[in-house]
Amino acid sequence: MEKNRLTEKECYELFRKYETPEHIKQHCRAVSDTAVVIASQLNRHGYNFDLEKIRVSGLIHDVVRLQEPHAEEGAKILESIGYPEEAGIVRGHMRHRLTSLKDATELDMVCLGDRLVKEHAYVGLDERMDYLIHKKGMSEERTQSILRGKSEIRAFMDEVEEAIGCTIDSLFQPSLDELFKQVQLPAQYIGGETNMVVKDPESVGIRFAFAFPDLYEIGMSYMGLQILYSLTNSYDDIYCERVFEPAPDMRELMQKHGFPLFTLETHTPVNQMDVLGFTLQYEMSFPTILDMMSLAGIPLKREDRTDSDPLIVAGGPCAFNPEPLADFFDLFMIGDGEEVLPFVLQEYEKAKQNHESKEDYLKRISGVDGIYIPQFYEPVYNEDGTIAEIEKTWDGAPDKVRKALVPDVDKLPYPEKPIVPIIKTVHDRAVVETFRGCSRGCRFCQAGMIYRPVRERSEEKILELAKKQIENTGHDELSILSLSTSDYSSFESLATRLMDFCSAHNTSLSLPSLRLDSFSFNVLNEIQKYKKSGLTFAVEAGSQRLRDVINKGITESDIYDAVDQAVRLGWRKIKLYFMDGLPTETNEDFDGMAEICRNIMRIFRESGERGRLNITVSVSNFVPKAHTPFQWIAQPSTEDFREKHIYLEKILHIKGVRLTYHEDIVSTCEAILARGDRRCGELLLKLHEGGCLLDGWTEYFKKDVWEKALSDWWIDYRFYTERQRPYDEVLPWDLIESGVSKAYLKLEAERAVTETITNDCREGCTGCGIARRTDCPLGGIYAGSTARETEMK
Amino acid sequence: MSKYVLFFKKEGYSKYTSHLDMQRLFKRAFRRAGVALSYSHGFNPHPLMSFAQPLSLGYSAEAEILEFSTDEPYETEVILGLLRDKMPQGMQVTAVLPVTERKPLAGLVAAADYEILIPVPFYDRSYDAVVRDYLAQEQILVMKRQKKSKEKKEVDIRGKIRSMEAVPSEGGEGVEILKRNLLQLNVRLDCGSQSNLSPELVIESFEAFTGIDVPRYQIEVCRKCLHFPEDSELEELYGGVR
Repeated sequence: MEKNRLTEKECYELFRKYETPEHIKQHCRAVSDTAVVIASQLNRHGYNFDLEKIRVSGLIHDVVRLQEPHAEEGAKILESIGYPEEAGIVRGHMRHRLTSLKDATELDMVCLGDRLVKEHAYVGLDERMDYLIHKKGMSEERTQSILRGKSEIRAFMDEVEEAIGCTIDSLFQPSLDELFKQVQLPAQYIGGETNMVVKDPESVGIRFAFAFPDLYEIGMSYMGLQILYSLTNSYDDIYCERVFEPAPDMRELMQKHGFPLFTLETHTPVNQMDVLGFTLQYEMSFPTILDMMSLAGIPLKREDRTDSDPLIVAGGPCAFNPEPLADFFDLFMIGDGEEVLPFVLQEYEKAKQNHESKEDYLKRISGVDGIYIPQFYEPVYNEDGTIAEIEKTWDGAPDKVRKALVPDVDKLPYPEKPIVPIIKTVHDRAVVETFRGCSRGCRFCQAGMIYRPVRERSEEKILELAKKQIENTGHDELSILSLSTSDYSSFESLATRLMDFCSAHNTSLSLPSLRLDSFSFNVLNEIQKYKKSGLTFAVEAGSQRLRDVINKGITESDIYDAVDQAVRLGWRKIKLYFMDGLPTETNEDFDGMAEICRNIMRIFRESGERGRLNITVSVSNFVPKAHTPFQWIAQPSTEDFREKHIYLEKILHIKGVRLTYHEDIVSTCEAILARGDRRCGELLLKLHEGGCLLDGWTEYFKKDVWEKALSDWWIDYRFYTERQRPYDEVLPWDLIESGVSKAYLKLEAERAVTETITNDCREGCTGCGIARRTDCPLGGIYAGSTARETEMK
Repeated sequence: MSKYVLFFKKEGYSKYTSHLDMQRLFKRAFRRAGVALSYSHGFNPHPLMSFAQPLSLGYSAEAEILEFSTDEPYETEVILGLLRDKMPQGMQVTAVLPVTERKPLAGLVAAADYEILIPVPFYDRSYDAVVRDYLAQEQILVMKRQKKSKEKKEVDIRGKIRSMEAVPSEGGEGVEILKRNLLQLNVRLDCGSQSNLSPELVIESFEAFTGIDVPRYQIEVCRKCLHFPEDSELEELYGGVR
């Protein structure tokens, strides 16, 4: 027969009858909730508690709290109205001792709830007991007894936690929904976007969290994420989920409640994933990586992690010098990710199945192209701080790590159904990569060196992908992605076909970094018919001399011809990109910038066109990068940059010209990490302790923390920035082979000094060395420097 | 030109999609579906598509309305079929119907029903009586930020509350196992360009009146439906969907 059970409604009738004060009612509810949550978790793990009994007994347990002995008095009331079982719990709730989970009853659950709640909220055992101990009038004897009781409860809780597989505290975090209601732009945390991949996490072999160490709006604008997301999710056994750094308001709430960093797809805590992978797009994101790991509750340093922690991996351009992050990662992927990432994941899946240790797994996959495992190497330093040699800690580790390289990008899978963000992101459009690599050989440009050789996707494939992306996303803008749009071998044909496609599909076309010849003007004039955005020229340096030093193949007459056409076609906004702090630079080179601006203004006046012309001059501080011809050179000091900016302000005070430049210290910080060694890990830890994150954002950059960390560091940071390295110095990234030979980089560095230009390698092989690694589609044959010299003259 | 109304639900976390994001989202949904919307004429053409009423961020909804026009006529079943797939999680298109009404719906909306879920035990008090007393006030004064001046001004909202009742409910996000007995307020408020009342002001004044002190982030609001003038075409169409 159904037992006669006290109901919630009757509880409240009793509260009214006995005039239970509001705060006691609230306490009762909290105890009831706490007990029910814990008991229901236990029921999921094979226990069989009567949840209703716990619910109402918990609710009524202090009904006459103010009439001592209140447990006895309460029990009598319940007995008198025919609820002996509930009465039993109320009677026992003060004196009952929690002994073992095996014999536990509903009474134990209510008592446990009562021991974890303070006033009207769950606070956990420690806070609750502290509260009791610090209550007024407590004797030493009483305190001791409370502490004995506490250890008994703790032992019981250990049993419960063992049974349910998580901590009791974690059951009482606020719901995600509650967090979402309190933050700006909650849609960035909810996931569920169109084309998000949904899989059953239980049915996959490996769960991979792809982390972008910045906000959603930045990370979702990055095509590499979409590429690797759709690629990894095309494997049935892999589930790739996304994770981003939460904005400061959300982050603060999460930290306050101990709410762990979670994935967007399933809202799973990141530390429950098998593999956590970061993309390294810019050095200033490194402190954010540490923040994300700590929000996820994962020990930062590799040596502090165990085999049960996720495998921590990274890839992306900054992985070409991963040393500042070496202490925090298990492995780095260098080069094209499309083949190496699934390999790393699937091999880890095997390791998991075979209960292989992380170390054995890493040993098994080491030696594969593109995989760098930092724990197998240890730099040895000279007294002056330079590296004497890089020692192996395990003989089986390869001497050099070649980048992963996919020779034919046309066959590579590419996203046809990219995720469509709900909130507005920085780049909110369909994007098709046209080619990888660049043939121009600008000496400052890391991308131009590390992504060699040039590999094109076919026109057919590009158009097919564009069509599928537009159909599957509903985007109304299409853009193409490469290092230099116009360098596509059949660019005119491609551009014409893309324009036709876009106009037939009511889609606007965006062609970034066009070289402005007459064809491009026709294209631009067509696609920007009514809305003329600005025209951008990456001039990079103010004088022809300095452009020769950096091998930037643009001349002033190129610019002036283009400007002349542009103003006649109706453009009124011109943007000029320059760098400052380049090697051999003097103020004369800056004077050249002012000269260019004045000439442009004059061309506009002489054109007789109406309106006003605006020029924005955007100056970036040069940061020397690894694997470039400028990897050895000294960067100007922060103070030098400041002086350069002052000079620029002075000479560019021209009507119609607006100057923007970056904060000088940020470039110094970036440069430390860009060419840093393993010891920079200490610096990153200090920055992390100082609360650094999202340092790429002007509003979040903590200048004072950086300055203090730099001045407290036992290493003089100028060692990394302001020091010219000799060519024979062992560089922290020497182990990693981009395919471009060091000899070539050195030669290029020397040619920079003599202001000698090197041709675009489409006009003849310049002998960079990549052809020794793969068939260079530009017909490159490694011919050594002599052959090249001949060709150049 | 053919004009249609579309009904949709916003459930789960999709309630955190803002009004602006909703506009972009539907524009894309139509493009994916290949439904060619009519465009406005003028210097900056935009698709003829608009919501009957904006919905506040964080509110879920059961039957919101979007009106749109196409140059070519479509079978409504076809549009429904094309749109239904690939909506973001929690957003569900439930019906598409043709309308003859030419005026923008935004100007026709008269009232809206909301369900407000407050995590206080329903049995704690006689909430029927509490609601009666709340409504019996001659004036219900709240501070409201003025649209233009941005200054707060005291206004009386009593006249804009058409009805209100308290019902026991169970649930609340994330506490399924607690099966909490909660207070649910069903309210009908003026809504639209003629006279409008935000449920936020009702929540605020109800909390003040009753002394309930629940943080706003624990309160759930769902818009159940909109109301149009009786005997109007929309009210009739809506009847089948509500």
